[in-house]
Amino acid sequence: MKKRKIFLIICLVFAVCYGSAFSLLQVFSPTNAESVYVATSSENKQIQQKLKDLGYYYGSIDGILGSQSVTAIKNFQRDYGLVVDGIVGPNTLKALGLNNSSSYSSSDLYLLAKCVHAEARGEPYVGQVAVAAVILNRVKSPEFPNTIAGVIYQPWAFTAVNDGQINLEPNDTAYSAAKDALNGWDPSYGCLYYYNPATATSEWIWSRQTVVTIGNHVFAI
Amino acid sequence: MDNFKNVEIKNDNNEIAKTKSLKNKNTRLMILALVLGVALVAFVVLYSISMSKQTELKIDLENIYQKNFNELVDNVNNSEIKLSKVLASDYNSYAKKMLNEISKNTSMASNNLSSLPVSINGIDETIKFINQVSGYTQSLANKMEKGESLSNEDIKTLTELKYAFDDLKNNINKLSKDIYSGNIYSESNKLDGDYNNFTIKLQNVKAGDVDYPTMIYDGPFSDSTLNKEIKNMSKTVVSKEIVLEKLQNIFKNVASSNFEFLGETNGKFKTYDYELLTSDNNSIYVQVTQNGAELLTMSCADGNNQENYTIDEAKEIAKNFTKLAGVDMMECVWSDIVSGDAYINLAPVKDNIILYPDLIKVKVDLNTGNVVGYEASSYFTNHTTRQLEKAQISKEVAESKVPKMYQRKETRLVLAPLDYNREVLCYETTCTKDGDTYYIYVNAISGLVENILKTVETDNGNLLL
Repeated sequence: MKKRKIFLIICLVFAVCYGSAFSLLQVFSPTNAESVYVATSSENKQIQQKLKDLGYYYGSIDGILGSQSVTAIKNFQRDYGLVVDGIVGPNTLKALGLNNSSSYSSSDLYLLAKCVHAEARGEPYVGQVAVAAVILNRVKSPEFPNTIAGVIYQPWAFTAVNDGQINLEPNDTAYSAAKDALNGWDPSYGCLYYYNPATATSEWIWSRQTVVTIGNHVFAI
Repeated sequence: MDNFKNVEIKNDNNEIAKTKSLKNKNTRLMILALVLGVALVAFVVLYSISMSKQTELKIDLENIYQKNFNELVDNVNNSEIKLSKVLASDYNSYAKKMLNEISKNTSMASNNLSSLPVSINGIDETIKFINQVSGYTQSLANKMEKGESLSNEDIKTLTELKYAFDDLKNNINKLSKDIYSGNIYSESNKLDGDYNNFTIKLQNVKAGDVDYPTMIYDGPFSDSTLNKEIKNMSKTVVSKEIVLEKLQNIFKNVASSNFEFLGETNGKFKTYDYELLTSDNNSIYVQVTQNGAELLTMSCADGNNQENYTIDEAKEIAKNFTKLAGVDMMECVWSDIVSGDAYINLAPVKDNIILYPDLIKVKVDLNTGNVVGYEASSYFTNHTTRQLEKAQISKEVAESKVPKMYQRKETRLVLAPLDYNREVLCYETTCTKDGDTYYIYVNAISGLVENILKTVETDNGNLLL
């Protein structure tokens, strides 16, 4: 009985020590942010649409590869002589005719969508377009860096970049908002700043001229 | 006697039990001490590993900051020297080469400066000065490229810039000894009010005063580009009632109780902002100008990628919507389909000339055929009664300027918004080469090729680059 108690104490002490040390290592680890690649739901929708067109899938085009989609993928793979694993890899994509996207991937759009998602998910759609527009307005402004990456990764510029949320995979709404802003939509009309009045700690941000409030964000020039 | 013996044995047994329990207690304490000792050693080892990792990361970061700071000093020093050389030259080809290099050096300096951990808005004036010098010197180099020479006004401005740069160079070199000691990271982590210590140090790095009126130029970062005036806006400020009436006229399928006033926008454009709730529970955000009640923008999220409408039907929908919003005589000049939405650009056409600066952009959901986006700020900023020049070269001459390797498809006269706020009458020739589509713009007055755009297919629609 006593031995068991001692054993338990030993286990507990080790667990606490390793736990705290491990969390210390985690905090200082540079790869703390989420970095696992997840296919975007728009890619999944394309796969579902293609399978539907070919008569393998009868469910809704929702971007979620559930059991119905997996069965459809397996049936497709069987018919096309591919490895039947229900996973859409490069060969299945090729057979579906979906790998013919060009070698030019719009990194600016992706980065902009990532920043919009990290900074403004949960905000109204137009608020997300306005956040993307502020980033593009900064690119055009002489007071900020001259590229999208330069503006987004400017030290101390965006909290969601500082805390690693920028590495979350953007959703379709963020993509759409980023695309609209790149196409010239700017509901803030040239604003260079935005802040959430409930959480903003900076003094000077309150001195900027407010242009419009959209959702929780105040947009200022 | 026997009783006495028994008591003695009992006492002995008690003694033995006491000694045993003491021994057991000691053993337990020793084990506990050992365990705690081992745990402490393990904790210290792991903690020091994590600390050394943290130190490594700090050094990595400091090194990146130091690289940028060193390059910043180099680029500032080089720009100042090259500015002196321009002023000492005969203002010809050597000056053009130097101006190009100053533009590059200052552009890199701006990049270095914005890679340093400076609190936002802490040194915006310095970044602005460096970026404007970059834009200005580039515009002078472009001017010389066309065979023009520097004017007395240009030389006066360059001389002022040289003196302003002298101050910047002296300030940054003074600061550099302190910074080179390797304390950017630690200084950037100490906050003093809104700014960190590093920003406060860097705030002393300023350029001298420049007489800005002489800095007016048509460059990407010029004040004239940033503060472009709105040309096409009524002076009359209308009431919210008139705006609501206009909105109800455009969005006839939205019940009047579903128009919610959200507030006002007080920027370059002054607008009344509304949220409309459609019968299928979709929320539309619209901004209508307070001057003249013009529909300026609308935005709406939609998530369905299905395409029930063709691009030609979408073009008609876009045209009709624009007409309903009050802008007539617009032609579709560009379209693209991205994730089930058609992006359609409309422009006015005058005397068979497409006026590209006055674009209205419309987004049509191909699933429902509804307009889900509208953007007319370029139209209201630029559209005005223009005195368009007559083309000095014929369509055939313009086409002959297109290199032979391109297969020509179509040529039309357009007013093109080119760099530095210029509106230039051009022949736009659509052509293909190796399966790619290109647009080539030949100046209709001088016959020079002004711009070449290439259509690049991406995963998210076509880009014109």
